[in-house]
Amino acid sequence: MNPFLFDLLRGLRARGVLLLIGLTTGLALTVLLLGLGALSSSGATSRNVSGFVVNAMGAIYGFFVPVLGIVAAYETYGRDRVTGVLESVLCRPVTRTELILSRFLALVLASAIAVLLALGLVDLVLYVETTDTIAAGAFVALFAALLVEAAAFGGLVFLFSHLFRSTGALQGTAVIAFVVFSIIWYILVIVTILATGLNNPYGALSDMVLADYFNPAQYALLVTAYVEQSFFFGLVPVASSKVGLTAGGIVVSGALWSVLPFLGAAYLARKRD
Amino acid sequence: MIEFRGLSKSYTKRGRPALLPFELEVRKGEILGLVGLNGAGKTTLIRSAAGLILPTAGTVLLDGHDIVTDKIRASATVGWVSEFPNFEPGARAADLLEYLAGYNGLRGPEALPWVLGILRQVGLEGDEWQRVGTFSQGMKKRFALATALVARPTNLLFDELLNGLDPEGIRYVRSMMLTLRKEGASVLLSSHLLGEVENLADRIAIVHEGRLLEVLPREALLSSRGRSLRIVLHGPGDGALDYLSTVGKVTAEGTTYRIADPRTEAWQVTEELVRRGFHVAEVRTEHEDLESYFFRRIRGAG
Repeated sequence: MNPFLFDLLRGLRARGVLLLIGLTTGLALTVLLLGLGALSSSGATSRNVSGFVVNAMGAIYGFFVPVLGIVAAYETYGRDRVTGVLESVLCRPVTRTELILSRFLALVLASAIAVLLALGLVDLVLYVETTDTIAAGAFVALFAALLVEAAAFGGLVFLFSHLFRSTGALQGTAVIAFVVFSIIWYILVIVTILATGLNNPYGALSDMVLADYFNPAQYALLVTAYVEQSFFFGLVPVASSKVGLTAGGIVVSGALWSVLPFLGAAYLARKRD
Repeated sequence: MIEFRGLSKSYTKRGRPALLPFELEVRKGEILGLVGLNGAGKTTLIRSAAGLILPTAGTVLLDGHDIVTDKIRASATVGWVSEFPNFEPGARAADLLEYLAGYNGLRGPEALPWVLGILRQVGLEGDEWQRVGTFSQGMKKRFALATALVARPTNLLFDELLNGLDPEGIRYVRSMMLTLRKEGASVLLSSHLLGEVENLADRIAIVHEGRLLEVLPREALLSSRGRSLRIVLHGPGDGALDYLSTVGKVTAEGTTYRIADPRTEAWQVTEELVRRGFHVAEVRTEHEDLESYFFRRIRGAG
């Protein structure tokens, strides 16, 4: 079997990845069905429904996809690296750069397939329930944003695996990264907004957007906010340009988060034993 | 052919380097035994040649290809067995071996039959579809051997390969190494089992504290090692000690005498003892084994 295909299948078969996708999709579908029920009883328009779905999926998947990226990266590279299993491959005719790149591409492709299936399922349920679907542009944007999150957190695990020598240290650091970016971040944002005062909501939101550019776990939320021109799960409609949320900023932030952690890992893979 | 050219390795900026500039070559059709205490640098040397660690200075050439700057061509010539083989535990042996062989270009319909043949050859017949995580230490060693042999390399790096193998496994490895040598492969074998190294290796390299102390052909080793005479007398041996102490340094235990580095041959000593009226029950020339020589050599090195 082609080594890349083997790595890809291993990433897809990883029990943690399957479990996460199953759990996240289950949660997304529950939220979707409950939300659709509430929206239909309040006489919402098709535009409201689509906006709700994109925002909700951005929030739910945006929270869980980092875990998916972490688990998939741990399964496809991190654990092999810290336990020494990777050496059985490294001694073969492959360069260090090729090896890490191949594993990273397998991780990204496995994440892409998993995210696509999960979003596709949500879209299918939406169609069955309302005969409406997520707008193509919003679907692609959400898919790309989630992929950026998976690549960023996956890249961070790749990077950590070159800094630590035990599975415990690697897992611990990955969990800390997730907690800081996905959970504590909210607290920081709320404290910041409260500290800067609620009289100037645009200023507080601008600070939040600026901060979120530096947080891969918030990337899907940024993208859905831009696509739907609203914040906080669609509850606060705001023109994105007023709070510094621009297409250019999103593209640059996404591009950097997709590649920088991985490039750091690749550099260490080449320069360190 | 494996060439170490001025290879040195330091894992930390302070402290003793793991390898001091090291010059050594393993020729085609040769088994070179690598012996040394723990921490001598044997594993570092082997891992450098396998492309797993980056040299601090110097190069390792495999069939003329630099393992760092020309890794793909260099690694294509190498089979490596680690002291503690470590594989993905959830993978099935045949799948994993086929995957690893894929890096050597062994793909397509002929890959699986080839891989299964190698697994049978190393003694894993019937376990081809078992998960590697369920393997015993000895089976893991056999599987590691299969991963090393699957691409028919011309350079083999065996780090404590014999550890953990059962007697049948050791016998197989012995015959496999001799076959590889016959086929022209270069085999670098590190082992603490000095008796095995002594039996198998064409040359023996003694490594100590990151330095290469010496490389000896087996014949030279035999001739340079210390010799002693073991003499057993039948009946009373009063007075024998007086004569034997003129031959060399004598230690006595009952009627058994051992003379280290005797100045005369065994037959001359026997003749003299008989002439003096002693009944000689046994005379034997003993050579110092590699283990004793090894310890004497590294003690001399400080």
